[in-house]
Amino acid sequence: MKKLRFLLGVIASFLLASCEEIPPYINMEPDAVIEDTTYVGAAPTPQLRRIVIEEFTGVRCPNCPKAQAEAKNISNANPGRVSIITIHSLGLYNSLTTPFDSDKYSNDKHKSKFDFRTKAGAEIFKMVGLTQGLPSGNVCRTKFDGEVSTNIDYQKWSAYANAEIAKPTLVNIDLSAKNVGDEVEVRVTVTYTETVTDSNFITVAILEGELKDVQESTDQNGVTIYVEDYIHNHVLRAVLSGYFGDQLKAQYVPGRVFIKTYRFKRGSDWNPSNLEAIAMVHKDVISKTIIHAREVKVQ
Amino acid sequence: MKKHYLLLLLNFLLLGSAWAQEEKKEDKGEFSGNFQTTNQFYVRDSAIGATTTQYEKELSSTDAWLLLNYKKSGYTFTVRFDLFNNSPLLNPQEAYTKSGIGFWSVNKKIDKLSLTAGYFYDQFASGMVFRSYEDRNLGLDFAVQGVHLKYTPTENTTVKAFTGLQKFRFDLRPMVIKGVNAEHLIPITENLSTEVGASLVNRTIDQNTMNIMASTINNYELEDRFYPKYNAFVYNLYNTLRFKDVTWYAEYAAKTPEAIINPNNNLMELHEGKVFLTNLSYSTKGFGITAQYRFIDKFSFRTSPLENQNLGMIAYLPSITRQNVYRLLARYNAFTQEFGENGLQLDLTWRPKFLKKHQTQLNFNSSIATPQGYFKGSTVSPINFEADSNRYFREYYFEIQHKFTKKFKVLLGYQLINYNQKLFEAKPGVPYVVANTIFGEATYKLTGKKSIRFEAQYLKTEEDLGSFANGLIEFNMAPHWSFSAGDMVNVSPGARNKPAAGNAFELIHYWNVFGAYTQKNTRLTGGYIKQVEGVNCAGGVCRVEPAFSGVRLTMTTNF
Repeated sequence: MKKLRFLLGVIASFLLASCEEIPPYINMEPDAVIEDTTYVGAAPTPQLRRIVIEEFTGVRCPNCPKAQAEAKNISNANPGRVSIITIHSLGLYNSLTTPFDSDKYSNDKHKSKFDFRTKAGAEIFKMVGLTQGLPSGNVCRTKFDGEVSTNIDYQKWSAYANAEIAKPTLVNIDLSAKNVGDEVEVRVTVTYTETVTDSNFITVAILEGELKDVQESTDQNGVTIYVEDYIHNHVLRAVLSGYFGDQLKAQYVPGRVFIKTYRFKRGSDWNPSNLEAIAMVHKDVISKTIIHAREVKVQ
Repeated sequence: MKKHYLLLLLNFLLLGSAWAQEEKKEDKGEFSGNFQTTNQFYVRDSAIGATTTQYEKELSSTDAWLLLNYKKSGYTFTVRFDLFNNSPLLNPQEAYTKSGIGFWSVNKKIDKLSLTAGYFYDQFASGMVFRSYEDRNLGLDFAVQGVHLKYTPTENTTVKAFTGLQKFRFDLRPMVIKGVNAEHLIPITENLSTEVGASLVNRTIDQNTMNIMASTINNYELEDRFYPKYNAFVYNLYNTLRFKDVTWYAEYAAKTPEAIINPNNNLMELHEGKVFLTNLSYSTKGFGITAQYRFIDKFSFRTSPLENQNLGMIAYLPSITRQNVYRLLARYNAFTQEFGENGLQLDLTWRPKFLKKHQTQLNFNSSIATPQGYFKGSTVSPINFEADSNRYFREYYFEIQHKFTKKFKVLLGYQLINYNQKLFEAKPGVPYVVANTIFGEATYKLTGKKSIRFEAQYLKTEEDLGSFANGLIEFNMAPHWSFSAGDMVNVSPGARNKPAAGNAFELIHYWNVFGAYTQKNTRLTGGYIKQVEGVNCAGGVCRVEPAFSGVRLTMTTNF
């Protein structure tokens, strides 16, 4: 009888492990695409490659402003060639990302005006690869030789960014974005200049800048401070495509054109004047690499 | 890392041999092992389609395995060195080169408990929920690396549990597998016994694989999207009932919902799965009959739903059809359709008493595999010889063996096959194959040690590559030498190789010569072989293989 109990115990432990699991992100909402077409035309002159720095951050992360400053330095040194996406992940690293709320948390002396966290950001973070802490980030979602993960320390971004900028792009992106009523409309045209054999995807996202809100930081002596009027830029507000991109379904030959138009309802706390749209063409969730990007201000 | 394992294992071996020297009288320990190698030299022959990369670039390939076992004081240390040089074995379209430790394990028996760490092979019941095994003919190695426990509290009871990762070439797949199984034999009377068992197996998908699945699903049409599962649980219940000469086995297995690729639209879908297998056999002196039935409904259990064909298999679902030996009889094979299949097989053997002195034996076998819902009289009926394009496979096989004198014996037979080539070989647009084959074999003993054997088959079909004739003559000089020469000829074209109007069909020969030498436990073989493309099966598991043309040398030895 004891043996039977032991056996049942083992089986029960298996069954307990089958309790409700949290599924991966699947977009069950109707697609935001209102135009989707493809054809082959003349191959255009290749654009210069625009790289992307994805920076994972949090308002309670005292070292994150340093990473943001580093990303800004890289962008300033390469005008028009670098896009920055600042991602506050919902549900990850809560002790570093949860907005300040002095009404709710007794230890908080401040109250955030915004909650920058997004589920999209968290899913992208998980897909690119979680790290031990924040700040963290990647250059074009590329895993560089000698690195153990795609997301790396911000002090390494500059060297890798310079190497990536020098590479040509095999695809052109043209992008326009405008506010239409309470929605944002983004039209993206992808044109291949070379033959590509990998599967490619396009991710379209909305970023917001000039957001003045509290940020934990450190002063010159390394003492923790709270900057009430910190300016948050390039904050990921929404991903209009699938979080891991929408697949570009056709053969990628020179002159292959994909046109997609996305329309998405603005968030209630977004400032329509400070929005930017970004489009990125990238590989699948295994190869990940962002091939090219384009960023425009939402008109 | 593997080097560390090897060093660790060598340390154990050296320590073991040191102890062995000290305790010479008690337990010296025991070494054993085996070695196997296959070397192929490729001769391009575009007429038969022997044109893979090895014919163009590498020109030769080698596969080799050296297994060593050392047993001492209840410990068993095992290590296997695997070598693949330009090998097409793991993927017939690839020239794979790598060598290293392909298997290692340490096993210790502690009273009623057997504990294994490292790689292990095992299966639960018939293997429908879990089987880790190796089949070198097909380049399969589903060893699991982890820990494995086997507890035998009484001689009639066994409990097993394991957790680990499945081997893939010299790496491990990242999906965690774990399982538990219990069996208990209940002797009721002297003639009646029942053996019951149950298993539970769990597989957890890793984040990278789930990312691919989620990304793929997010690109489906909205109505086709679903939430995939990280965890799949498979369980089974089974029983073997024995009463005198009758044995009845029944096993039911089911799987919790998980993604499975629908072969009809090539999309992942979320489904539960189930499979039911039963066989009933009666065997007495001179007579044996076995009937087997299996029903499969969306039951695919692999390391991930993205794996297909012979990759990542956790559940073992072999073909329910007969495994033929003769070259032309084995030309068309059916492998299991995991998304849905009804299969039935009947096997009958009879040795008439009145022909006892001639050792006459009659064998009959019939098997059928259809999609679900197609198991109807019109498809099962033995008089319906019209091909039903919905049917996967059907075979009727009959043979008679008769020994005329002490020196001369003959085997004659007939086989009819209906084969859904479009399905099994993924060849769109090809017609359903109906093939009739007559075959025979005659063996004559020249002396006590020398014999000559002749075999012949003629396969007639209008489809695929058409009709073939195959003949082989073999000369044996026991116990060392064996020689054979044969030719398989494509005597008339089929739907796939009909010559253009005005052109004559040229006979295509698949000839071979072969020699073997055996010295105690060592066997060397060499041959020049031309082999037709098709489905190759071993142990009921099959794969599509390209044609082969060239020299093949092999060696196997045990020590």
